This record gives sequence, structure tokens and C-alpha cells, in this order.
Amino acid sequence: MSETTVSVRELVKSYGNPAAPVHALRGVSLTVLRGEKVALLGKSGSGKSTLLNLIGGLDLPTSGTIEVQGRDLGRMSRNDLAQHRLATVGMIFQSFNLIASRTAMENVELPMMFAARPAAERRSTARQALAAVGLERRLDHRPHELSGGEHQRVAIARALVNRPRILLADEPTGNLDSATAGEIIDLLIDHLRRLEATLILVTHDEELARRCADRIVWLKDGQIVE
Amino acid sequence: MRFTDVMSLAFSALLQQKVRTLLTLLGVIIGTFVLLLSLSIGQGVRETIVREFRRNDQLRRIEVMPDWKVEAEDIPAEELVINGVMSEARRERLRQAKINRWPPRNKRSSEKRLTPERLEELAALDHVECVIPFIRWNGRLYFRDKIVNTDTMSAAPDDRFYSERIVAGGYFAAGQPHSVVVSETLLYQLGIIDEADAEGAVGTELELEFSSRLGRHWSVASIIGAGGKLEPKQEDVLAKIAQQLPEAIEQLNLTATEKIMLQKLMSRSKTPPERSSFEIREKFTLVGVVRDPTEEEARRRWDGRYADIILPASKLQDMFFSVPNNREFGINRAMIVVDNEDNVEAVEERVSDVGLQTYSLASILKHLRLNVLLISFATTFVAVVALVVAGLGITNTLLMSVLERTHEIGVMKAVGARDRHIQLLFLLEGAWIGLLGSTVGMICGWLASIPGDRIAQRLAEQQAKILLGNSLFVFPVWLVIGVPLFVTLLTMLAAVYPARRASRVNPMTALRYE
Repeated sequence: MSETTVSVRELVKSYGNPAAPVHALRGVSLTVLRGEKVALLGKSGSGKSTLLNLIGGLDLPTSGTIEVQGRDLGRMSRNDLAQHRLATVGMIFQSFNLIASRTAMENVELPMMFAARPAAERRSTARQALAAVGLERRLDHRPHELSGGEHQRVAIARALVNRPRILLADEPTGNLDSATAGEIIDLLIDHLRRLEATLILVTHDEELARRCADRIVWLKDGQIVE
Repeated sequence: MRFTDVMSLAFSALLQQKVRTLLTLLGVIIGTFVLLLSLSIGQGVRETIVREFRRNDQLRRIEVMPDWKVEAEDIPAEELVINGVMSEARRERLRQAKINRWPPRNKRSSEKRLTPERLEELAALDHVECVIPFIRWNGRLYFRDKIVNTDTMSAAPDDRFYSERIVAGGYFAAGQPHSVVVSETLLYQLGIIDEADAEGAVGTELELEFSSRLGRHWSVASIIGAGGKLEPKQEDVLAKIAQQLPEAIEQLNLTATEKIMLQKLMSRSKTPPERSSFEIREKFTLVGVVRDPTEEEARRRWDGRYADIILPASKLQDMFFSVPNNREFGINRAMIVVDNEDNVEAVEERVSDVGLQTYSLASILKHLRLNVLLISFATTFVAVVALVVAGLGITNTLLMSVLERTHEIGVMKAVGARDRHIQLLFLLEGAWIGLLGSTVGMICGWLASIPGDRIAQRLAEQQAKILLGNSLFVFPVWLVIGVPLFVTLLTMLAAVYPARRASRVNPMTALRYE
């Protein structure tokens, strides 16, 4: 548990016109250890999703450094960042971000496809992953044929299918009712335990954060406050 | 990412927008259809032309003629003097007009004539297989008790124009100088009427006469207005009158001045009588009977189509050149057979350098092929323009697709897609459109070529009276592979810009895009 897996130092992220920038993050520093479950808590606009996206390599910082497993994301090429998203991190979004025209199986297969895994292996792994989230009977269903909870189950299966070291979850239960949210969180924790992966969870639900995180980090106006 | 996976992703992306894909495909199908048919018929027409020209080895032959063009040095200088007060320009014009009107036979120079020496010189040229003289000589035939005036033609022993039309006996081979082939019309004239008798006549002997006496009757026939075909005996009477005319001048009712004028006119012939008088009589064995050519066959030869007597070229050449006058003036036409089609141009150049006029189907073919090529180029250009327009349609379709699928691109990037994966995905969508469109276009083109060929064949038959016997549309391997390849490359090219744009999409922005 002592190995640092994510190290963020003096991270600044600004948007908009350089003359009148909007600062989403203002010098955030954070260290996450391997296997740790960290919840980023704060109100809307506090910068928690921005921090998560930066750790996920979806965006680049204005200044400061983000090191994930010893590699500085700011110095990575576009290809290296794609590899980082493919192999190092798995991401779950509030709005699920499934591809509407593809079935549950195809959505889960997608990251394996980019990892150049053979079709047969891909199909078998995707089937197992969907079975593990309780969707063995929904393999060929398209997103519009699934419920909100099922959407997120597919997203979890997709995020974990390449066995990432770090799972980044951005309000994973934000669009779900409380009963379904509970099921999803249980599922997520169960999988994390088995994968021994690190979790960074973004939420504004303190109860949820306390339930699944080892540590809570509060953000306010782009800064860590506790 | 595996190539097959990108291919399958690209294909399924096209299936998401069936109507749009179909409309885009339609442009490619039409472009391919026009391109294929244009190239196919262009190639087919070129091949047909070459095939038609190649019949009877026509492309290895060069026809050679004396150059009858008169130059100033061919005319005595005093004849070119222009008297009177005039500008230099007018004097030169009148001088040139005199040159242009000078009778070619009165040329001084004999350099450009097809004399026996010149024929030997031509035969010695590199790549020349042989030189066949074309001699057409009016003579007289003695067969049993019949005498007829005939048109005798020289022919090579392998001349298929005659050998393919033999109806009785055979055609003479090389080394049979005393063989003769006659037309069935002549045989009929000679009283051999029944078909079975024609076969019986083969092997019999006949005699041919070529004599200066035979042409002498023309001048008297012209004076007395005895036009039309004359019997040999009638000709002999007129020839006798012509022969006696110089001595009979005194008997004519003319003034002394008129008599002197007439004597001068009669002495105008520059050739001394001992040189212009000849008589050749030789016996030959009838080896075969030939029928007249059909209309289609006759089109292959413009001279000697309906000759009554066909003699081995070498024999007729020997007889013809045994006359001093003929040796001096040469013959009017000869055929050079070149060892290979590829050497025709070089040999033709050498012959032209000698100063002789040449005519070869190879040079005509070259121009003809160029014309067909230019027409094909024009139609191909139109087809390529159609394809470029279709390509712009593809660019537009894919750009719209990039916009519509921005979120999807964002998701792909979020789960690990590299820029080049996205780029390849859109490039392959372009390639699929090209591949599918060109395949359908090729099939449509091939199907359309079936009735198209029937129409073209009918037109050729009706308008040019030619039975082609082969399809005008050809689909060689290079065409069947090349057209879809070209179309696919073109559609991939059309996808380059949308693909680049898709690959540069920022995943963060794309995920927010709805």
C-alpha cells in the first residue's frame, strides 16, 4: 500500500481566453497510493471532474505535473496518452458514454479491439465481463434497450476489461436511483477488490464517498481544502 | 488494433447510415460504370483495329511507289524561263506552276523510279524479307483455238488474297515460274462453261503474249471513235493502220505545212523504235482457277482485284523488265515484306530516304490508334471527373459523419483509441465506399456491355459492312483489377481530410458533444 501510483503537484488548469482565464484547478497537489480508494468531494464547479480527466489523460494541464505510475502525463505524446487510457486507467462516466449504435458486447469489446486482442479472446472476455456485472442476458442489446443501471454495468465492464491499475469513476451513480446506485457501488467495490486496483471516485455524495473510499479529498474552487 | 477489426468497424459504421451510404455509393457506381465502359470499348476498338489490320500479315507490308513529284532539276532549264516584265514574286509563282504541271513521265531524273536495280536495293535493306513487284500488264492469251485480251497481274506464291479463292486446281508455289492461275470468268469466256470442265482444264497449256504491237491500236481507235472493248482481230486491224500512218501521210488531203506538222508530232516519241518494239510469247501451265472476290474480300486490295491472269511475280517481273523501256521507267508499285511489325517504321524511313513514296497500314494504324486513344482519353476524362465529383460527395458525407459521430470518436479515444486508429477507420470507410461502388459499377458495366456490344456489332455491319466476329468491349486483367483499385484509391483520397479531422478531435470536447 505504500507505493505511489498517482502524484499530482501544483496542478493548474485554466480554460478560455488567456487574457481572462477561468481557473478550474489552482495548484492542486495530491498523492494516491497503490490500491487506495480516494473520493474527490466537492460542489459542482469545484474542479473534481477536471482533476479526474487530467489523471485519465483526457486533457492536459496548464501547469504543474501529473505522474501516474512514475510517468509524467504532461510530457507524453498523443499516442502515449492513448496507451495510458487504454492500459493504465479505466474510466466510468456519469453519462455512461456508451456507443449507441453498438451492442453491450461490442461496447465492452471496444477497448480490447484497440489493444489488438484476437476476436475470439475478445468475445470470450467481454462475455465473462458482462456476466460478472449481471448482464449475461443482455449481450446483444443496444444501449437504448437497457436501463440506466444496466448502462452503467456495461460501462463498468468496459472500464475493467483491460484490467487497468487505476479506475477513475466520475459520478458513477449520479444518474441512477438510490437502490440501483447501491448495487452499482457494491459491484464496483467487489471488482476493485478482485483486481487490487486503485480507485479515484468523483462524487458530491458524502455518504457514498464514506462508504467506498479509504480517504476523502475535498475540493473547493479548484483547490484542495482538506 | 487489427486491420480486420478496423475494416469491420468501418463497414458497420457505413451500415448505420444506409440511405446516405447508398446515395454516396450511387455516385461511385455511375463513375465506375462510365470509366469501365470507356476504357473497355477504347481498348476493344484498338484491339479490333489491330486484329483487322493484322489479317494477311498486312502490318508487315509497306507499299512502295515511285515519287512522281517533279523538281526543278528534272526539267530542262530553258523550259523554266519566264519571259516578260513582272515582279520576282510573280515570276517565281509562274515558274513553280510550270514545275507543278510538268508531266512526271518526262522527268529527267531516274533516281526515284522502281527499276530492277532499285528493287534489288530495297530487298537488301535490313529487316526486309522480300520485295514483291506489283505488275499489271495487258497481254493476249492463246488457249486452244481462242484468243482473248487479258489483264495479267503478278502475285507472290503466298498471296492469300488469291490462294484463298481457288475453286479448281491449286495456287502456284514458289519455284513454279511457268504456272498460271486464271479467273473462272476468263475460263467461261474461253468456252469452258460447265463447272466440271473447269477442273478438267487444270493442267492444260496456254500461251501468253506481251507485245508493243498490242497497244498501238489505241491512237487510231481514238481518232475514229471506236471506243469500248475491241476484239483482238479488230485491234490488229487498227494497229496495222497505225503502223502504216507515217508512210501514208503523203496520201492525205493536207497542205504541205500541215503534213510537216503531222510528221513532227509523230516523231515526238523520244524512244527509238528499236527500243520500244518488243514481242514476248511464253507457254504456261494452268494450275488453278480463282473466283472473283466478294465485296468484303475486295476491300482488302485496291488494285488487281479482278485480274484474269495471275502469274508468279518473279516470272512476270523477268518478262516485264526484259523490255528496255520498262527497265528504264520501272514499275508503279511494289510491296516490301518486313520481318517484324516493329521494324516497319524503320524500314519505311529508309525507303522514304531513298526518295520513294511509301504507304503502310502500320503508319495508318498508328494514327488510327492515336485517334481512338484520344477519344478514349476524352471519355475517360469525363468518367474521372464524375468520379472526382463522387469523391467530393464522399468527403462531404464523411465530414458529416465526423460531426455526427464526434461523441463516438470521443468515447473511442477515452477507451484507448489512438489518432491513427480513428484516421484509419475513416479512410477505410472511404475505401469501402470505393470498393463496393466500383464492384457494383463493374458488374453493371459488364452487364451493359452485352447489349452494347450487340448494338455496336449491328452498327458496324449496317454502316461499314464489316462482320467483326469479336466483342468490342474487352475486359483485360489490368482493367478488372485497375479500375476498382483506382476508384478505391480515389475514394480513400476523398476520405483523407475527414479522417484527419476525426483523428484530431479532442476527447474531452468530444465526450461533451451530443
